[in-house]
Amino acid sequence: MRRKLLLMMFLLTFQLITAQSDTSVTLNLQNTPVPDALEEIERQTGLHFFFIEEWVSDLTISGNFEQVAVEKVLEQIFENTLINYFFMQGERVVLIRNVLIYGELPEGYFEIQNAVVQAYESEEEATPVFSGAKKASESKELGTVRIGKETRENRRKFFTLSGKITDKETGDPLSGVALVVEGKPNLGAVTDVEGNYEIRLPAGENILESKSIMTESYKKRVIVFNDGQMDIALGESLEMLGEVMLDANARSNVKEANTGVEQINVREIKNIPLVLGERDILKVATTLPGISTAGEGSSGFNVRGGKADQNLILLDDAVIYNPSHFFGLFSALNPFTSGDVKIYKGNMPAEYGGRLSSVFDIRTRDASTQKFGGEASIGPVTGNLTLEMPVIKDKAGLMVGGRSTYSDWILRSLDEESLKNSTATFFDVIAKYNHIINNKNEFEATGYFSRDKFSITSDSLFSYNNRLATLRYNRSLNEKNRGSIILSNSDYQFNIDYAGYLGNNNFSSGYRINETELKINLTHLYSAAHRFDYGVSSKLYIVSPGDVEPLDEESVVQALSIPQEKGVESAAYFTDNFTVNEKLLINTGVRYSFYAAVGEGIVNVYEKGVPKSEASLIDREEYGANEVMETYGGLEGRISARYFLLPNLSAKASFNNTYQYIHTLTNNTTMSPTDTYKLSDANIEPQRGNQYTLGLYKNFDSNLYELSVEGYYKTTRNTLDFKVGAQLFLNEDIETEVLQGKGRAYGIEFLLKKSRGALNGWVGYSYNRSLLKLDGDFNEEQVNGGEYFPSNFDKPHDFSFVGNYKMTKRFSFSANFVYQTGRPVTFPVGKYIFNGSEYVHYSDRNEFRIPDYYRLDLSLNIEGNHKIAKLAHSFWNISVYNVLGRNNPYSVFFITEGGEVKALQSSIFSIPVPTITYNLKF
Amino acid sequence: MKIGKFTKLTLVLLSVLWVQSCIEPYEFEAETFESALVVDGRITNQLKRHSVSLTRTYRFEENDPTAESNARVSVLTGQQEYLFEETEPGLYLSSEEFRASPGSEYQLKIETAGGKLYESEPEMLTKESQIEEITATKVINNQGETGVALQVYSNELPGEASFFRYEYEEDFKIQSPMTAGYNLEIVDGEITMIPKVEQEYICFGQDQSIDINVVNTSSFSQNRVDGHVIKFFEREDPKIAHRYSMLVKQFVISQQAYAFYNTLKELSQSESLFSQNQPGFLNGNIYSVSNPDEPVIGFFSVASETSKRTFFSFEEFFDPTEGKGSLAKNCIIQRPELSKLIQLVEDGSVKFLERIQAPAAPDDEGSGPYRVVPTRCMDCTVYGTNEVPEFWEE
Repeated sequence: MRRKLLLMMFLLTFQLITAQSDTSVTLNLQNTPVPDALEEIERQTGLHFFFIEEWVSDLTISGNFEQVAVEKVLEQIFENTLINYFFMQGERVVLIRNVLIYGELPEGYFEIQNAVVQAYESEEEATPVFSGAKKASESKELGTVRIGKETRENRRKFFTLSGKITDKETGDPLSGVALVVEGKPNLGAVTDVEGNYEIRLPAGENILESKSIMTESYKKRVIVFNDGQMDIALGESLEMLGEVMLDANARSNVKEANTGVEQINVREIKNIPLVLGERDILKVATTLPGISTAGEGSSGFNVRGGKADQNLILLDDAVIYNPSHFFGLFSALNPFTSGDVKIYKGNMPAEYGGRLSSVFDIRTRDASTQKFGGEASIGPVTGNLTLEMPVIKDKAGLMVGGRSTYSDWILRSLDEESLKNSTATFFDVIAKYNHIINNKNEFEATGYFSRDKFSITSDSLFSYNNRLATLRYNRSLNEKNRGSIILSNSDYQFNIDYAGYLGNNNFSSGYRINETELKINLTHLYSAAHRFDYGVSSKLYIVSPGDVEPLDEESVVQALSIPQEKGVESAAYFTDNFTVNEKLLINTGVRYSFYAAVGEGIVNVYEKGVPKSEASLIDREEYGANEVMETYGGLEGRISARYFLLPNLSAKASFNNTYQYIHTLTNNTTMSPTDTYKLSDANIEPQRGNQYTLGLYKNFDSNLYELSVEGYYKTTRNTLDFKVGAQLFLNEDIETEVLQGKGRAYGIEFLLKKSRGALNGWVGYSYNRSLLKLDGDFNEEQVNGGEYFPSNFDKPHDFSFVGNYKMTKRFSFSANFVYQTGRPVTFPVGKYIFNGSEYVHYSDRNEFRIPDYYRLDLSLNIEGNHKIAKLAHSFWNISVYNVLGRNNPYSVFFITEGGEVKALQSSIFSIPVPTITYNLKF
Repeated sequence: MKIGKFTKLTLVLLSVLWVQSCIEPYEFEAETFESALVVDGRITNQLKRHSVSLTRTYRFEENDPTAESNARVSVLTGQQEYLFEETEPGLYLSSEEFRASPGSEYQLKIETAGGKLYESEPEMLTKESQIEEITATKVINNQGETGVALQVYSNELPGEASFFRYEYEEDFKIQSPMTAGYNLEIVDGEITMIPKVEQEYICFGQDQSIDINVVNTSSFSQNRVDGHVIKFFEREDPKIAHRYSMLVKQFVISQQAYAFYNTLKELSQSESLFSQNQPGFLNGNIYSVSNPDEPVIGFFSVASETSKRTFFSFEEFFDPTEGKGSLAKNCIIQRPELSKLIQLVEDGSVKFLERIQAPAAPDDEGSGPYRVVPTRCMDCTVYGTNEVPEFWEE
């Protein structure tokens, strides 16, 4: 009742008259400020205007009016503004913002409360909007925003509010921010990658609330009069850390056409339990179905049963060959500078190629162009400091991040006698410069360097480093066309220095691969239904397959350098994103890739019909500099489609085929930093792969839950494997050690995610098989009799759970559980005596499995206090890795010691590992 | 203050922070067993009865191979066939002495008692190389242990890279920690002191290499072995406590043989905690004629052989006071009761050291009239022979 009275009083203070006047004016206005114009009208007509100066002070008006009715003039003046005008008794004109004042009370005014409610329910006639009936105190607390100008003609019940949500500090668009309307659960929107949103709101008052795990929450009373725009700037929230959200775009799960896409945002994985205090985006990736590693101490990822060398791992468009530190225990990506990673494990967009299994597209965050900031952390192993600073305010920013081990105590504290004399150190640095030249041109540059140094035995020192550099220029050509030019260079090398105690055979050896790529991507918005993405790329590889040189004069080792290999990989691609209708979206991509091995170089020619060996080598063909030695190439299809079965349920299917012209050479069961890469040549054909995917995707509860089920079937050809005991490093005739065979992988993946709320996380399960067939023409080129056998990373059952629970604003708790089938191993089928010692007789490869792997990790995040005026925010993370203390074997192997065979098992973390990290953000 | 509490907790956790990773024994139970023929054969350019050993693989839980007996073993070269005869189960020696000669192909042929046929690939004699020198040097190894390294130097071979395999026989002097002039014997049920006849203070032990030791000169600037370590002894190794002799046998082997031995060696040692060589069946140069898919393990090699002997003494490198190793340890002196002593003497587990002259009170050693020590501390023949080897030089 009190509300009604208030409203009545508000309205009745105006002595309303019918808005009718015959007065005319003559005006000649040229960018005249509106107050001046109104003054002139007052002078000519004797009318009196009442308004708040600031509403109109910025407005100007141009136009010639010759005996025009005042009403018409005012209509024109205020046409594109929020101002309405009213003629009142006594020649008074009142200017009102937003509100349209009605001369008469609308019909049913006194049932207004009902009418407002009805507005959501019927699409028919609208009722004028009346506000002000709220308790004054509440509206003060929330802050009120008025949207649009009420017009007499506009009787719609729903209006569209759109705008952009940006980060208050950096000005960066915030994606994945959800907007909800209090009390109206069926209304809501989520910002897209550019931070844009569009929400349908009922006319009248709405309490609009933003929900995002990374930002402070925002609550506003929004009174909607018409379609309108509202931009929101949000500050980053340190109190709302409790959630892990994958895939920022809430509906992309069901909406995108591509199959098998995963997205992880680094800021959102703050809470996941850590090993030795390192936040690791790639470790999180392995908790998703279809992505795994061979074991705790192995670098490299196996995506959908693919080998570790079949992943294209890009950091700001440049290939990072070894994205891990210290045998894969840590990732080489700085968690403070990484933005997000998008993993394509199903259909790979045609823009990418050259690897069969997946693309990891890792992006570095843009530096703030607004203010100086930074983050620092101290964990048991590394210290990390990242700074970001504006270079040109609002236009350019620079981010520099560095991370380093501060002692090599990890290895020394390992409870393994053979490692007591070991050392291991690593560091990585990254710098990114981003410059918005104007609204059409943008420039970015990234530089990255990482280095690892370790020695497992006291006579050998291993080191490796990645070096990347990227220049990227984005240009929006016009409304329909935009493009980017990307130039990148990537370099990976490792060295092994050997210094024995006798000093007579000391040497230094090394490997290096360098690639430079130029890529042009273009997008053409052809029509609402078609978007074309197309481009070209070309890449030059230079490989130094191996060098060795004596370390000193006493050394008997002879300097040796395996001749350089060069290759050019080029591609052109075209994709049509075709929205056939509301339900069907087809993404058709074609890529033509072409590879040439170029000289100078030597091609070994082998006798046909006998195994390749030194004995069957019949000719060595020499090629001059830049002479083409061998070419390969072919068409690659990338087709995927999405069909909405129901508004929140879609089905997708895809097919793609890919060529891969670069291969790792390894005779280890797992990937290691000393694996080398070999380019395809006359004797080693490119690997080829096909993948078929089919999936169902469902979002429910306003996109709160996402469920997906995806099945895939993959075949590969020319996958590389090696003869037992192959010598791969410093070998000029690698092809004599290589076996090329077929691969087959299939599986089904389930993923259920809850991306918001106090309790959030995901559960994934997949059943995957990965099989290989090495069936050469000769006995020595066959493994397991030429039948399919499980690959080294075939782990059929893979279950993971990641959950976060936010207890209070300052405490959040998370847990992580993993279960995997043990990986296949080759076990002995007997022993034998040879030359007085016992040895193990191995038969078929990978016929057995090591015990299953499971692990539970727990973590607690404690935020510092939340005083607003504080200089820096801090939080503690306490994690316990492997809480159950499960002694998961990493490998089981057999050695001969003192003439006798011993069975041994190695494990990396066999007891619970607690760690504490302190993080500071300023 | 909540934070205060957690800071304390932090300190506690930091103090227990460590990583554990380990290599430990694995209880392996073989689920399957595959029986295969194992061939270890070599003929050289030395005139002798060459040997071929034929065994079979055995179950993982077992300790001894079964011999492949009663097989017909022969080596074929041109029109000539050298027959081998089984001298002990599974060990076949050529019936006559012969030597491999350069330029001829040799092929091993086996017909088992079960009638299965096996052959080796034809092999040829490798080039000859002499051992120029074997040196013994005092060094500190990578683990920081002081010791003696035995290194071998060969002469340079013409032509392409060569492959070597080293084996050795070692002989070493053993000195008992204790000595006495008498033995105890039981005569008519009584303990009796009898003067020693046999010398048991200085003996000679013998051993031979079982590890695979191969060298590839392809990465060297010269085609010769230059200081390759045959063996490293820690200072406290009992074998070098007095005087030591090694007969180094050098075999020049084919590249294929090198690859076989080297892979066998690599597969039988752990390279690092984090990476493991891909194990699998290792092909040698022997195959089954009857069934080409049947796995046959082993290698038949035709190698040129030379050998050289070297001697050194502990005192050449170390001061005797620096401490040396001893085979016999825990030499505790006892004085058992007579009844017990009789039993110990009959077992042969103790030796006489001293007789207590005057009736002595019981002490830590016991209460008996004779001081005795474990046999190994008095009698070095436990570890070797008391005969001086023919080649021995002091």
